[in-house]
Amino acid sequence: MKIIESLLSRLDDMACRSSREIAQRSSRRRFIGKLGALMVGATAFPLLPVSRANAEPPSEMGDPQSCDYWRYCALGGTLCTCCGGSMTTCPPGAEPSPISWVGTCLNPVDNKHYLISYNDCCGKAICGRCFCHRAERDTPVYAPSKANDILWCFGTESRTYHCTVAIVLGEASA
Amino acid sequence: MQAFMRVISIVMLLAVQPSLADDRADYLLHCGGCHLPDGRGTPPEVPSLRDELGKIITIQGGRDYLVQVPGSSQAPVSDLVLANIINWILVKFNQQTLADDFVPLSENEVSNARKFTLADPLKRRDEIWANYVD
Amino acid sequence: MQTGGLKKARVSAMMGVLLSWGVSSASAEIAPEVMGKSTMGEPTPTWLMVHDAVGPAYVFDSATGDMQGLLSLSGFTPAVVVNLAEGRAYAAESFYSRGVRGVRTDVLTIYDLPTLSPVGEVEIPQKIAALPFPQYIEMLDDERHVAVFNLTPGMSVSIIDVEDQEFVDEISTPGCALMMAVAERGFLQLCGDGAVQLIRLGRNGKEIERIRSDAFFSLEDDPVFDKPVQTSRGWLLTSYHGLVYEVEVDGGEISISEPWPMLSEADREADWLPGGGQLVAFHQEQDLIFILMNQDGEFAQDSPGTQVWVYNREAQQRVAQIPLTQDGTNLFVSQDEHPLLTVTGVDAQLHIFDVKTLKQVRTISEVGVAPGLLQGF
Repeated sequence: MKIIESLLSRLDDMACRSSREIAQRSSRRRFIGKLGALMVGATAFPLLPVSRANAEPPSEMGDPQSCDYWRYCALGGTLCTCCGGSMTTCPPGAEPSPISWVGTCLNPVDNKHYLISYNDCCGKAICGRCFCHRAERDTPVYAPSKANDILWCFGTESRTYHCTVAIVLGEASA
Repeated sequence: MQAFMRVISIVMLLAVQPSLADDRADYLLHCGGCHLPDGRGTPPEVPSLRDELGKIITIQGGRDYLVQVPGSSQAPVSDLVLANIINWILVKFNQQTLADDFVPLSENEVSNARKFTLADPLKRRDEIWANYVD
Repeated sequence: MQTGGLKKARVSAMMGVLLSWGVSSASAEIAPEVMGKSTMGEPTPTWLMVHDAVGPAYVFDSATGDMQGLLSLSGFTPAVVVNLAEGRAYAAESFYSRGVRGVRTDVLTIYDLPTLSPVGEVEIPQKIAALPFPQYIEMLDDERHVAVFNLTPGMSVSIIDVEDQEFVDEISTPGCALMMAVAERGFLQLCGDGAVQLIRLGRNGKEIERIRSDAFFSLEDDPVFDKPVQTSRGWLLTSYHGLVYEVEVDGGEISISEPWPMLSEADREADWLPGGGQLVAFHQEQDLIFILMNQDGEFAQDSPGTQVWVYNREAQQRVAQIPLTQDGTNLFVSQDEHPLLTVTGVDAQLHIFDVKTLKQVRTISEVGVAPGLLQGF
């Protein structure tokens, strides 16, 4: 969700754009430093050429703490990866919202479109880090199932917004 | 025999659909965010799509209703894709209640039902359920 | 009528100075002072409320840059509606008993304008839509009923009678959002099928009529922004690709004008598209549309604008382009003869332009944490 449009478009401009630039310069170094923490299930996303001949090719590339990461193509909010959570888990003590909105992002590594579920983590004060607002295929609020300008903390104890995760649900239909 | 009929209808359903994987993806993209990937929703705000739908399609107007609720009718998909998504929901989440002689919704049926906009969907839902015979 | 409390205080302070002059000519001694309270003056067309991302609304006069006071609002409040004649503002608010958690209460709070303080509240369903949208709250034309938009994510509208200070009804509006007031206790909504819906209330605030237009835009091809603005005749909608539609209600019928394009072939070739948060403003008397434009390409409908383009509505012609030194997210234009355009910049400052000269005349800085939505009185 988009926590507050002004905040986000401003911070998108300030934080995201600059973080995009920074990411281009430093994502590799930052990434390596956090590699261990970023292993998600069986899919790790090595950035460096893999030395072992029969190693799996990387399924994802980039810096999940950067707004330009491929999964965030329609995310509005703050990145849970910067707030003590991960791409698929809420930070400690924050409550995952079961309800989300689902977008489609292109993974540049395999050139496939994936369904991404943007779930908000709720019940804690906003995590004021890594503000990110991108709006690929985002619709106005009268079509809410594709709208990121909505506080998506629904079905939670508290709808106070903390941050947003980006979960791969599967490949998009052809 | 009933089980056999069910298998037959599901086989027929599969035959008219290009790909179940696509239907699931379309469901997730257009419905799954609110109704959740397993269709259970968060009632009463987001109705469950499990089990009840097998019953509602036996009521007069029930099949059309599934097309006409705004979540369906306003989804940015073609009539064919919408028919496939609704059929997928019926088969996938409503096995317990789906009649053995269930006939999948056709593109044409969806197209006709979709032309009619419900002014007050909740009111319409109550009207339909009022005619339900167990 | 409110007299300027601040002015009074200044006068008495000056009197004190004069008095002490009389008593002791050797030095100007400051007389002991007593702490008091200011009251807010009468808002003028150049006054505006600037909603901070974290809740409060700062009241400024864009003609002077001076702050007039602050309205403390819940962090979930989308916007407020004002009844200037009554000296009231109404806000949908949502609170938790333990700050970010605990028991939730949603209310429509009635604020007294001179003191910017709550004077009443009506408990409403715990469903109010959060995030700043001007049309998430609306005053109907009887000035008695206020409509509040609910999103759970089911869509509905709560109706409150502000005269009797009671909750009237919740109207279910699946698939349709926002409220745009029209005559005879009516409001329009935008629907996901590309149509608008008209709901009319009776004297008691209960729904008596609901009709829907034919679909006139495509959600997939070119949706209209969820930021309609009011004109003298109805409501003005703009689409992602820069089409302008006008919606009016006449004798119970909804009419939608033929759309006209804001962008020329050359504009499109230069990648100009509308984008921003509160991206459109309208000046009633001068019939001018102000809209934020950027060149960030497809999917930049939420991105800040680098320019404000000005159109004459009747002539359907662009009459000016205002380049911004800071990209803008929100627009407000004062409804007076010499209009001032206020733009919320990505630098968290307000940039004020004289519409006649197109020159920036003022910057207001330090406006809360993250200023966004702008509303007039």
